[in-house]
Amino acid sequence: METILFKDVVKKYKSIIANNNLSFSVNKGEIFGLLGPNGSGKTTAIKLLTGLLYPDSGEIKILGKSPIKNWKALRYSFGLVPEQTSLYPDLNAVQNLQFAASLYMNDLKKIKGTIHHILDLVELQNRAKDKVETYSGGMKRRLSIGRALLHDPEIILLDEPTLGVDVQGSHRIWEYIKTLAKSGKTIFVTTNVMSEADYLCNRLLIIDHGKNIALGTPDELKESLGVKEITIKKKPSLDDVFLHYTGRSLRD
Amino acid sequence: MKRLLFIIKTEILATRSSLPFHIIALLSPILFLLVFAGQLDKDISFPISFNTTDTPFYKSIDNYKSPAGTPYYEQDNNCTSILVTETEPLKVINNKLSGSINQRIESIDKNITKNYRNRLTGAISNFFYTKFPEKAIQISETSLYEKDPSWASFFAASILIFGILLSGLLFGILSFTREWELNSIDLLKLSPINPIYILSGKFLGSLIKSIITVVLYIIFVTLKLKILIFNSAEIIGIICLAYFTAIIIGMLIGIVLKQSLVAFITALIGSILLWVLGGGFGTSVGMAKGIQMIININPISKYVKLVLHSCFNGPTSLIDIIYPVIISIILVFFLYLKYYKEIYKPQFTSVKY
Repeated sequence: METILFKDVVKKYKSIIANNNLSFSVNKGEIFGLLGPNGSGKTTAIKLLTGLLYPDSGEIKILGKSPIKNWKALRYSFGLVPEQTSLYPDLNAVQNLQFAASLYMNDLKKIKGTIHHILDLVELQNRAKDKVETYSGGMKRRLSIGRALLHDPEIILLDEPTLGVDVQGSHRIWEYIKTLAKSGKTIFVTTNVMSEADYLCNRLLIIDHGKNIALGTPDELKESLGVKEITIKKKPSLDDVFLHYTGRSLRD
Repeated sequence: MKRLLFIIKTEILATRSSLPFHIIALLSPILFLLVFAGQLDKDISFPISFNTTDTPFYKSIDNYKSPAGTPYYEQDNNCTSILVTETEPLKVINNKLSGSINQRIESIDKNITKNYRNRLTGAISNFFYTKFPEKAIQISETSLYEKDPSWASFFAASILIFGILLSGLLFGILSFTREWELNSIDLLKLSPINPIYILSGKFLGSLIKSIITVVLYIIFVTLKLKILIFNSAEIIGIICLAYFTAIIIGMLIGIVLKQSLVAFITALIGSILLWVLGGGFGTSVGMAKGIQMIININPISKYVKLVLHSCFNGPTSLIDIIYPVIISIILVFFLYLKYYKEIYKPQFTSVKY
């Protein structure tokens, strides 16, 4: 059974069709990427998944259940990393996580241990008591990911997870996401960074104007253009060049 | 309990982004009091110029004073705006008063003209009675309160409600406006927990913050102006009840407001309107019927009445407590519905989102 199912989903904002017969499915433990230019309907798809929006037509299933009928129960099943980190700048990391835990965790008895574990995971333990307003973009993004993991959801939804993050930070975030997928979490990522999609995702769906354009693994999509080997020696990407000169260590 | 504490803690700590508005809310009641009560506390003498100084009427002016002993007229020969001329000196013959007075007023409006006329009429009555030491007409005054409060004392008590309204409304509104500004509203929208926790946490956090306004105000009024507002335990109940109404109204507004500046302006205008239309400036006698009706249905008028009752032993009734409590309970019901519809289960707002 698919963890996420989108079948012929249509969502309109007055005359604008944000999602136009969008169809895809995501399996358990998979990292699924939704690629598209700005305004192509990626964020709308996430909002439909979370039940923040209702589709005009079509079918959506999360863990086999409708997010419309089972919205309350399903909210425990996903963790959202929004495009904007939505953190409280006046609060430190622990206080931000405590607030999020009060909103999402059913049982707060083990809150202290859970927060400690999350801060370790996103490597923010040494800055845990600093106000978030002093954090770099990458640190905020990592804390935002940590916040989405507090209630141990089965599905992680990441909306542009490395937006505004430097190359080192982006690579570290990609590693976290891969680790989460290995632990059995289903990851749904929206991005318009091609290197991110290529490195991270098991399968990709390219959409434009809300419509399915192409679906497959990164290799399948590349091969679908019909271009065979065009270079004998692979040139490094600019990311590789940048990391070669600046190293992979985080700069927090 | 832990859940509630975390939400309250966040509400209290997340103030820095709107700190200037918080400071204005804390200081506004004190500034209002200084402007309105500090300047008008004493009886006012009208500066006035007389054309003569040796008529019996002029001499009687010396004894024309308020109960507090302040002369109603301050004779100022350089005053050119008010000139009283006895064209025919006043006299009392055979118990009949006669004479003629011309009063030239270079005033700015009808109200000032009326005030000068009333005062002159009082001066003439005073002159008339000086001819009858036995005083055929006895006047006794019964005031609304056990002891007539000074203007400053009355205003200090009334402004307490304004301070509660301003801080309660503002902090209630900001508790949601901030979520829109930080985009953390999505966290609330996706939270599976019962909205009662979030609403209660936000309410209590706002209450704790806004109560500082009242504490500062009461300390200032007591120490600096020597006016005792905090004189009984019931005042605590009245303050809490008024805060309850103000914060709930604020939270209701906050769900739809998305900017701190708009929140502040709304809270400021809202609190002034609710306070003035709740009898904050004093009696509604003489006001238009429509205004009197608004004052009667405005629950804030009951809080003003309750505070004045507490401070000066003014009249009150059970309805003054029951009415605002009922209104507040209805507001809580609306707040829950609004939150449920707009945030907790927001699919109905999909087009707006």
